[in-house]
Amino acid sequence: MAGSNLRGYVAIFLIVGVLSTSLVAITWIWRERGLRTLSLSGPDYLFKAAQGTATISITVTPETELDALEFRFRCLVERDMSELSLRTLRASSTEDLADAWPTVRDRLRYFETIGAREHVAIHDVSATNLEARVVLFDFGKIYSCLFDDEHDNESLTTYAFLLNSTNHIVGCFEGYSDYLVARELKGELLRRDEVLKLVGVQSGDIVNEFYGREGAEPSTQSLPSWGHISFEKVRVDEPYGVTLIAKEANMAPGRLLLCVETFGDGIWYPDSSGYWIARTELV
Amino acid sequence: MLVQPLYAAVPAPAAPSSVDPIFLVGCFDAQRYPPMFCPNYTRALADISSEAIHTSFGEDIEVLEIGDWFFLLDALTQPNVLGGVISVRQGLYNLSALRQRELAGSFEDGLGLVGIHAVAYWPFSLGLAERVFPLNATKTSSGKVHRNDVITSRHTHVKVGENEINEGLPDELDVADAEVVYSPVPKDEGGWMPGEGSITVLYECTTAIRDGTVPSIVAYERGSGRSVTFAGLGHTDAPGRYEKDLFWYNHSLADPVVRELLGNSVTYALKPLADSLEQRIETSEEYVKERIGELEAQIERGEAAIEDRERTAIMTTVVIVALSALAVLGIGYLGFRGTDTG
Repeated sequence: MAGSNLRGYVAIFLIVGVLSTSLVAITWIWRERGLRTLSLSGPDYLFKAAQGTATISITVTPETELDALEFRFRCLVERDMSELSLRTLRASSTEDLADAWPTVRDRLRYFETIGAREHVAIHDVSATNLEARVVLFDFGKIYSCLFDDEHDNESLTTYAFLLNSTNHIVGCFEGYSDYLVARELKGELLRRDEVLKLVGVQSGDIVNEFYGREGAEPSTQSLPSWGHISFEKVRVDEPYGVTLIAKEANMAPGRLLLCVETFGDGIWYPDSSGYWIARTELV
Repeated sequence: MLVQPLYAAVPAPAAPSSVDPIFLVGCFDAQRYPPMFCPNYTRALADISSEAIHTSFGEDIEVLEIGDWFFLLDALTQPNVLGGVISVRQGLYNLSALRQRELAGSFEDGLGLVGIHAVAYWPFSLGLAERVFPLNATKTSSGKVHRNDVITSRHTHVKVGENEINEGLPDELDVADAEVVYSPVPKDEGGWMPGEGSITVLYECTTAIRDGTVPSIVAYERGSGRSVTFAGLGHTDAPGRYEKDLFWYNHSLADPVVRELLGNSVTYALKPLADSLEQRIETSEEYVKERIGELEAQIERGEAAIEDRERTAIMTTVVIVALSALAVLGIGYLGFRGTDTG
């Protein structure tokens, strides 16, 4: 009798063990595999010496084999909303937002006429360093497909709305497929070689550095165009990343929206993407 | 505390639509850099263009307003764009060599363009003032200013040649015209003429220079492209101006003769292209397919990899569940066999 009970207890123990092991195995199999974010950081302030060195940094490691891994950098400058003739100040859908800003609507319509509308990246995300939502309309990837690299960063490719908790538009940004841009005091737009001190691109154990205007070669001008840094045939568990270090400079007071979005085989990874609203002020 | 996003899903057409032929309209004030969009003037010109195009060629060609100068220049190089109206007031910067080369190339390959004011002003558009909007203007002349209820200025133009653009229209036009651009080469020396192509002077301005006239509206053909250039019709939507005078932006466009001239110009510029619309669309589709094909292929590969992972996960899960069930049954059989019968 005692032996039978003991056998029963052992059986229960073994059954629980088998079931829990299976459960753990199934959970492991169905875990979301893709990219693991090792670091993601951006600044609250830019071009302000008192705040120390301002860096924008992202490092990820693939958990599965990918043919292509791409970081897409965008830098947008805030526009005065009173100059934009917005059709509404409150939006309940993406269509409302697109219609609100005629420039965005025109761009969408244009890309629709060539059958490329589905490749416009429209991302509704939370700002990384602010209690607000960012809705990004990014035409940069289509631009890079349709136009040669000579056109790099002359045309506006990206627009964004900043929304509060009641879906009111509280900010509008327009910008470029570039690593970093800013307006100096007289309003002139400064490009990457004038505002970046250093850019580090990491692929596994190798880090390639690019230097700003006063620095050594290679310069930031030789960075890949359209703000797209891509890696091919990425290896599992190897780190891939980009670090931007901004210069100190006198810039027009305002706000920038800095974005880095990560794509693996053309699929967007929101958890490995950052959206920072950074203030620019006088040094 | 943020509310949940109302629109996490991005609405987009399920499949790429076909390529549509379009005509672009963009008006800018190039006193600022980048040139400032003039929305009111653009809208007025887009309405004129739409009416002309839909009357002459049907509804197939869509008219789009473009509010960004560089995007307008980008888009004009795309094969589905048949042409456009480009109006620039006060060109105070130099168009890059790349932009000149591209637009002139697209024009010669078959664009129908209507250019207004500074697009023919050499210090701004350089090569375009010779190869696309051939006035090669280096001088400007303000109109006679009348300061009554409204602030405006006027220029007088007389008909010189006649073609389908100005057929049946008055021999003399007196229109609100803030400024005319012109070449200083005297008419009695032959004036300035483009080296290539065929130019027809339709109107000359009698008030731009003392004791003489300068070409003010010209039609031009070069390669497969056609253009009509208006040396005047300088305009602005600049902040402050519009508030002071609600009709400032379209003094000239309110004139029915000017409207008819512009509409006829759009029709004239597009005429040869509209005949080969089908071929043009086929070319555009091939171009777009080639350009964004790799992007689509990459996304397809990514989605296929995710599906593949899911399939493998399903198979593995089934195997684990089956093995676990067998193990549980076996353990249960061995563990509880004969327990109750004792």
